[in-house]
Amino acid sequence: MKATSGQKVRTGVFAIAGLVLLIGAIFLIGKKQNMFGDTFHIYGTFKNVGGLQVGNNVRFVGINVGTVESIKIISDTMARVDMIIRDKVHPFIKSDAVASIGSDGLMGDKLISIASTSENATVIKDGGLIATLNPTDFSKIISRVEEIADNAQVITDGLADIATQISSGQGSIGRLLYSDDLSKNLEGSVNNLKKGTAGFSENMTALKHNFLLKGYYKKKAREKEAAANMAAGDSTSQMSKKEIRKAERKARKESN
Amino acid sequence: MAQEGTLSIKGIFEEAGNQVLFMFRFFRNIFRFNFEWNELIRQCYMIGYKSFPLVAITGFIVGFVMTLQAEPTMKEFGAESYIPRMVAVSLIREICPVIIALICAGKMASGIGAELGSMKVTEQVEAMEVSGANPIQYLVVTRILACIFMVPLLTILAEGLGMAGSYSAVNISGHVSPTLFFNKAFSSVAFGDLLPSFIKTVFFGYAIGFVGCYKGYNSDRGTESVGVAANSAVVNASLWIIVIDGIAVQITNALGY
Repeated sequence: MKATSGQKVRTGVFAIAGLVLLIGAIFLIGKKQNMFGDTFHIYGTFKNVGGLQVGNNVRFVGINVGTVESIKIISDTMARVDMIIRDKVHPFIKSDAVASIGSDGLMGDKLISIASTSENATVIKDGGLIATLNPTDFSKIISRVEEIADNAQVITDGLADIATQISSGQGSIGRLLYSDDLSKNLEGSVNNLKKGTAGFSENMTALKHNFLLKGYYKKKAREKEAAANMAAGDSTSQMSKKEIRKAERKARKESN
Repeated sequence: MAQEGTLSIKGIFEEAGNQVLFMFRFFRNIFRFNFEWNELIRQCYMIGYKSFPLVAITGFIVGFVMTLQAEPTMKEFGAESYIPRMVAVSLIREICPVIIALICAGKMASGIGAELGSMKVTEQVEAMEVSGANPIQYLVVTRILACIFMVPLLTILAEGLGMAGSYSAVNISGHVSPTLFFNKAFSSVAFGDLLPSFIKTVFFGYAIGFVGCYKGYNSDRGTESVGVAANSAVVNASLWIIVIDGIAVQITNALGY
């Protein structure tokens, strides 16, 4: 049985549709990987690529401009990352631009972002080296946090010891808070002080009656009285200064 | 009774030997003079073009349903924007090749098995041999090659329609432009996803055509053997598709894709 012309046409259309779709998909994937169109290459060296993979995007001012072409280990502490970038953005990527590894969103893929540092630098060469910033190494951060946590534990252990000692009445603060001895001693001291001051006032009274010091105390009492009179008669008394001096002299003679 | 499969060890080896010999006859006849181009195109039409509506509907609905099923979970993780990538990668890598191959096994392998089986019953194959025509070249080579060409094409079309289905499912809950959708979808698809799955479908096509032709060509003379040939062709072809898929995954993993 021969294939009719209609069958041939329909089969042809069907096959062409499938092939067009296949070629379209290949073109789309190839475009994403910059396989078609003009491109240029640059490379950077990183101490740690932080999970970057071949095919990850390269961004410049937030736009996808290329992909990671290859990642090779060049020494025990260095990896070389080759990037393939669209030729259209070549004039904007300068020789002092800096490439850093970041990630696209919280759960996104890794990517390289290129940032310009100055406008006046020369354009980077095809195949040239770009300066890099190493990505944040989370394992390092975690080890630092662990150190801090260890220190915090030592401190809290010490504090716990101190609290235990205080609560068990050990040390100065513990004794101050929990021991009755100190308050008893203080009470005794206050009592002694009271007794001492009583004895002292008795001694002072005896001194006042002593003939050697009697004159001194009398003089003090007169001065006090005069001062009190002055204060009381400041507004009412019309005595002149002379009269006051006279009265003072008279009082002195009398006392002698 | 080779196609019914005897359980004895001798029977198993005999069946395996027959299949290998049949395979050699197929490969030998591909490069024979007077290739039946016209018959090949007719078979492509019968096998490929006529299967297209079934495959198209299946592909579209698979993409549509996958998106709707994935949406609530992806929403929970705040990763809705990953739906196009997820659907594209899973459709291209695994789902479309296997589902379309199984559908083709049901449609093509049974059709070929029944057709060749009935030709055998009605002694048309012997008549061809007597008249000097080469039945292997005319009947077997054209059908197997048609399957090899058509299954990958049908899979590609189903993948395209699956993505269209996914796009329409995404647009049920909100508007996303086709450019954004397909950009996102293809942002995660690499050649390492597309090519291994494409090569895999070539083998699926070969398995469908070969099993259908072998079962039909080697069927018995009784009328019920047509049904048996069609049935065992579908069962064996489906099994082979799953086995080839398992092997293909191992190979692609070993190659690092």
